[in-house]
Order: sequence, then structure tokens, then C-alpha cells
Amino acid sequence: MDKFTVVYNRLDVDKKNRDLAWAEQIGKTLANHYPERMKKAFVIPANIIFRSIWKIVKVFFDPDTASKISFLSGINELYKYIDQDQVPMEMGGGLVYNYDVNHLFTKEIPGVTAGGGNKAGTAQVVYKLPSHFKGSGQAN
Amino acid sequence: MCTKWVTNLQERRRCLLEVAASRGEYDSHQFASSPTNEFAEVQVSREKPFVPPPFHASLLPPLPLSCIVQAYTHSLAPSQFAGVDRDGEGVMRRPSMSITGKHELKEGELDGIRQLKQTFPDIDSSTLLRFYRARKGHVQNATDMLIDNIKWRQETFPVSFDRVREECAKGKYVLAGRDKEGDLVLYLMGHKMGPHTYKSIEDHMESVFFMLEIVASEILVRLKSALYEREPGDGGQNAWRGTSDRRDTSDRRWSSPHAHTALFTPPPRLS
Repeated sequence: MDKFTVVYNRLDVDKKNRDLAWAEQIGKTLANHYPERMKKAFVIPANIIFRSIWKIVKVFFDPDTASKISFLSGINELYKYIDQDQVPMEMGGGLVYNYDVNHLFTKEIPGVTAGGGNKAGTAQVVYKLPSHFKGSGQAN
Repeated sequence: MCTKWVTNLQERRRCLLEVAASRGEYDSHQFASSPTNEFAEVQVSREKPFVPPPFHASLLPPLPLSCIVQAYTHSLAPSQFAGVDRDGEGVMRRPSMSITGKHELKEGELDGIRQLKQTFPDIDSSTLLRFYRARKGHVQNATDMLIDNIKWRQETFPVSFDRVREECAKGKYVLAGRDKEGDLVLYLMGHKMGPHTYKSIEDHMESVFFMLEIVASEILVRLKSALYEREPGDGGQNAWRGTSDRRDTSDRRWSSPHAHTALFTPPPRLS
């Protein structure tokens, strides 16, 4: 309905990528500011050490929240929830996307809608941000 | 012109012929002496015949809350561009229609939403439902949470895109594809994260708020356009055009034109 799935990609993750302050902030944000938005969260790939740590930490979590988070050992387990052609290629799936800052995400976003008006046939796109993003130049 | 209602078919026929003659399509004198329709006298009726009104989405009855799920899922079903396969050809995908029981509205929840609606009449019912569920059906706690959320929104937004552009460009968060129920999937790329990638955690979180707001707005616009059969591409701007008569319906839950945009307009002031 009004929810999204979160996938935390742990491929090629080093010690330097470890960030507990960030994890705390993300958890707080999703719990307090965007409640019930997260449908399910997957951490992939998660080894045995990671899973055993989670089993201990789980006790301190709210049981409903804890049940939403699952640790998957490989990409094949993710295909149970997301089809292979919907998983990005860099994770092993079949979805190709171009990451463009101006698109923010991979596809056209309503509210940040791509408008017409490319006279020369170039790929120039006009953006219209939601009205409360007043700082941006092209907002209405 | 035939502006007034014609009950007699014979009269109506003559009137139509006159109109046609005035356009030069018929010669009216040719038809003046022609035999009239013999069924005309039989079918004369003093009552106004039933004419079906022109179809419009706003004439449909308002949807109950539990229907949102179905409308949303079904609208996403046809002709979705899923991406490009390994051979470079576009893939269209039809998401499955399965709806989990979790999303359906339970019986006690409607009363809770009605109570919250008295306090927050401008906020969308599905938003109220999320807060109500997050506080496990406790109305007072949900009210406190909503007030905290409105205060936080007043402090945080608007977020300037120019400020967060650099942080967004690092590609830490990617919104790509859909899961088997048709919902959006947000990928967090762990190898791009870390304390060395940002100046301060506050700056980073600002970009996260910005992006989550876009995700939420995309979900909401799709939901809205599914309900009112509009293209998602119009940004939901025209979603309420021509549907003002919806306000007169008995169900007041969907009556406010601002109900679905509550999260994207400046929040109401607290006294």
C-alpha cells in the first residue's frame, strides 16, 4: 500500500563503512518520522557472525520491528520477495539503471516530473518539485 | 435549434430535420410531405425519458479505506516498464496481484481513525492509520506522535535541493524496481556508506529526509492517481479537478481536497 521495502546491500563492505551513528539515525527516522513506511528490511549478504549478533541485539528491539528485519545469506533468498529482473545488476539481478543526481532515483518521479519542452530533441528535462521544496530554483 | 425538450418523436424528427436543413444537409421541402413515422403516436410519452449521465470518475461512490490497496495494486498491474534485460531489450512486467492481510483495515481501526480525524481533520486517513498502527492502537499516543511529527516537519522542511545535491550524488540510496507485491524498493549501498563520506551526520540526514520525502510523495501520488484514474505523470496536480461534487456525498472521509496532500503542504499551525 503506502510502504516500501528496504534492502541493505553489504557486498564489498569494509570496516571503514561501519557507521553506528548513521544506523541509529536511520532507525530513529524510520520509527519516529516515517512510521509504518518500511514494509520489510533485508540485510544481504549476512554471514553467521552477523546473524548471531542480531539474535542477541533482537531482544532490545520491539518485536514487531524485529520481525520486519531479516538477514539473508545470498541473493537467491532475496528472489523469494523480489523478482530477479527487479534486482539491480550490481547485486546480481537483471535490472539496469542509470543513477543520475538530477533524477535523484532511477526513474521518473511524479512531483519531480519530467516535463516536455525539449526543442532540439535533446534529453533536457524540466523538473517541477513539490511546492514545499522552496529552495530549488525551478520549484513552483 | 432544439433547445427545449421534445416529447413527441414526430416533433423531434421534424426539429432534427430542420436543423439538418439549416446546415444544408437536407432539403426540408423534400421531407415536408413525406409520411410520418407510424410508431410516433404509439411512443409518445409525457415523461422525460431516461438519459444516462455522462460517465465520470467523480460520479462513482467514494471508496472505503480497505479498497485503496486493491485500487493501487490493480492500477500498477498493466504495462510497467521493468528495466532492460541483458540483451538490451526492454522488459515489461506485470506485478502479482497478491495483497497481504496486513494491509487490510481491521474493525477497531476505523473507530481509531475517526477519533484521530476529529483532532486532525486535514490529515489523510491513510497517514492517520500508519500512526495509529505504529502506536499499536493507542489513540492518545498516536496523537502525541502526530503532534511531534508536525513539529519536526516545521523544523526540517523545506529542504533545499541545492544543499543536498552533493550528498545525493554519491549514490548511497537507490530507488529501483518493485517487489512481488508491487511496492517500491529502496536499496542502501553499504559500500558507499561510512563516516568518512560526509561532513556531519546532520548534513547526511538532511539528504535522507529529502529523499524519503520524494519516495513518500511518489507513493502518495500513485495512490491518488490510482483512486482517481489519473496518470501518475501529471504529479497529482489535476487529481481533484472536476470532482467537487464528491464533497456532497455521505461519506466525509474523502471529502477534503487537501486530504491526500496533507504531507506535502505546510503542516497546520499548532496553537
